[in-house]
Amino acid sequence: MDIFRPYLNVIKKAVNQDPKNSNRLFSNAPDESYDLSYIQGLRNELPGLETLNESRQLIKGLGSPLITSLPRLGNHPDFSHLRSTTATEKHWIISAFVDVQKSTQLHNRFTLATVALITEGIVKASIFAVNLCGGYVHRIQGDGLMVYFGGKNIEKSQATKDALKAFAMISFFVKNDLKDYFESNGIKDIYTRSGIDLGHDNQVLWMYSGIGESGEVTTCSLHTSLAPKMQATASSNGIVVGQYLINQLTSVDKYFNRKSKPIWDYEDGRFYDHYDFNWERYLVDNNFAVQNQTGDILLNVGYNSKHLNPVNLSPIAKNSKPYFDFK
Amino acid sequence: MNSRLRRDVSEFLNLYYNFNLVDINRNGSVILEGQINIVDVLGSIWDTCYKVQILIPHLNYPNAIPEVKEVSKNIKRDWDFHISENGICCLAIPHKLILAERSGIVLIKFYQDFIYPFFVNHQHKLKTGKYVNGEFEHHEKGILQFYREELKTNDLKFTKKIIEAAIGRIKIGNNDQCPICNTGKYKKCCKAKADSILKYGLKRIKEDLNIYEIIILGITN
Ligand SMILES: [Zn+2]
Repeated sequence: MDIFRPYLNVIKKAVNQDPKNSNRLFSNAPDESYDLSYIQGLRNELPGLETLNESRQLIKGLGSPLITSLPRLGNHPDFSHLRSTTATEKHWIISAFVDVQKSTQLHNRFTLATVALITEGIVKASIFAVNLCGGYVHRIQGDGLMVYFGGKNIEKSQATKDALKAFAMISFFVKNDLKDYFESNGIKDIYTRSGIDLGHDNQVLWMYSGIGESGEVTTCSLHTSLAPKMQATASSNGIVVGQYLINQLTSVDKYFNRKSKPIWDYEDGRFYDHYDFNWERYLVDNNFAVQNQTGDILLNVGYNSKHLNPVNLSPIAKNSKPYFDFK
Repeated sequence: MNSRLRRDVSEFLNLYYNFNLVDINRNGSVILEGQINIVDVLGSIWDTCYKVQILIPHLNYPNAIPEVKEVSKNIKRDWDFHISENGICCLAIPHKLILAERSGIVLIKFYQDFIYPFFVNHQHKLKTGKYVNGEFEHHEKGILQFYREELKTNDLKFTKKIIEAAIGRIKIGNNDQCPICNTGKYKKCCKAKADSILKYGLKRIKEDLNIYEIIILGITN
């Protein structure tokens, strides 16, 4: 089973049980006229830390330490000493933004409670993917996340790979599992857009922004600001990344296409480039996903192949009747 | 590499992401290398995967048949698994491949019709002990089996005569009495059968005739 299945299953249940959706041809009653108490139960069904730990163990081995709680938002653990101080620190970081574009059709079809649960499911699935890949969720904004990859105990190249993997997985979830399901219900245009960029030590200033307790440990950097600009240039389900990020990788030609117009003009004759990321090729090439007979992509990160039955091989295998004619 | 081959290879590599071009021309063939994962019709991923090379001949492409070499050695080198000592997979009875070759192949479709099913079938054989749709016997016996199934007869001499008629070794007019079974006009009797095997090409069915001649001689001696 693929690791996003539990999130999808809850979203499916919410859609199937939504009273507005099942009555919409007959009435346009307001949400208040429906009993929506079941939603609370569904929200509790969305996977939590236990699932995260199970998946981590599948991927990293049984010995991997359990996560007992996720770090609070706006407080990157490696820079939390800056909290409520005026001190600053220069340190590299990868800033990443993902946003789920949801069709406004959803509001026509479902109660607000269902739309909220769909959003919650997607956000939680994204948080799950980020934490599974060693990233840190800095902020949740509506249907999107602002995420950092990197810190004091990790190499830039590793953090780069983590970021690409996490965002590729999120894009996969929305582009495949979720979109297929909603399209089968007549709802189109659900997709993600993402932007990721790396700023080096001399380009990123960590500081506490806010007053008293009301604030966050955050970064001031051209490259933190460029990531959402890149996100805005991404196509549906696209991920756009900055030059410094791909400089961390050895094999890039296969996965990245330079965009014709640079994302930044330094106004001294230099420009900063950004690239479309072919995350599907990246997932398959790095064994995070596999392809079936016709090339469809299936995630196999943390996949457990239970309940395999050769009967399900037969429809494909029956086209082959082998022979032997070697001497 | 002709333009059709170039286009087909590029479309293939843009669909199957873990295949790479390793050689544009090695002994007259394009060599692709990649991994085949087994995914069943429910979308379940099976544990075994196969590393393979696909060798596609330049000459006459698309009227050509790729060769598949299993390099991960996940298929036991044994006749019963239809693989040669150095990993060449015997994908199908030659007649079926000849048909594909004669009508011209599209690499992606060849992969989906012949290559992928071969490996799924191997997985099926490992788990259940048999190939889903059976298999052809080895060497000449497989050819006899092919005609047995194709012409729906166990009669070796009858089959031999059909092949002889097909390649024109016996000349028969449409309205002649059928010399193969002596029942009615040829065009209403065995002509359809003889014509149907012609699609495998003269070269192939002459080889087959040779096999029948040797075997029938062996039986009568
Ligand atoms: Zn006849």
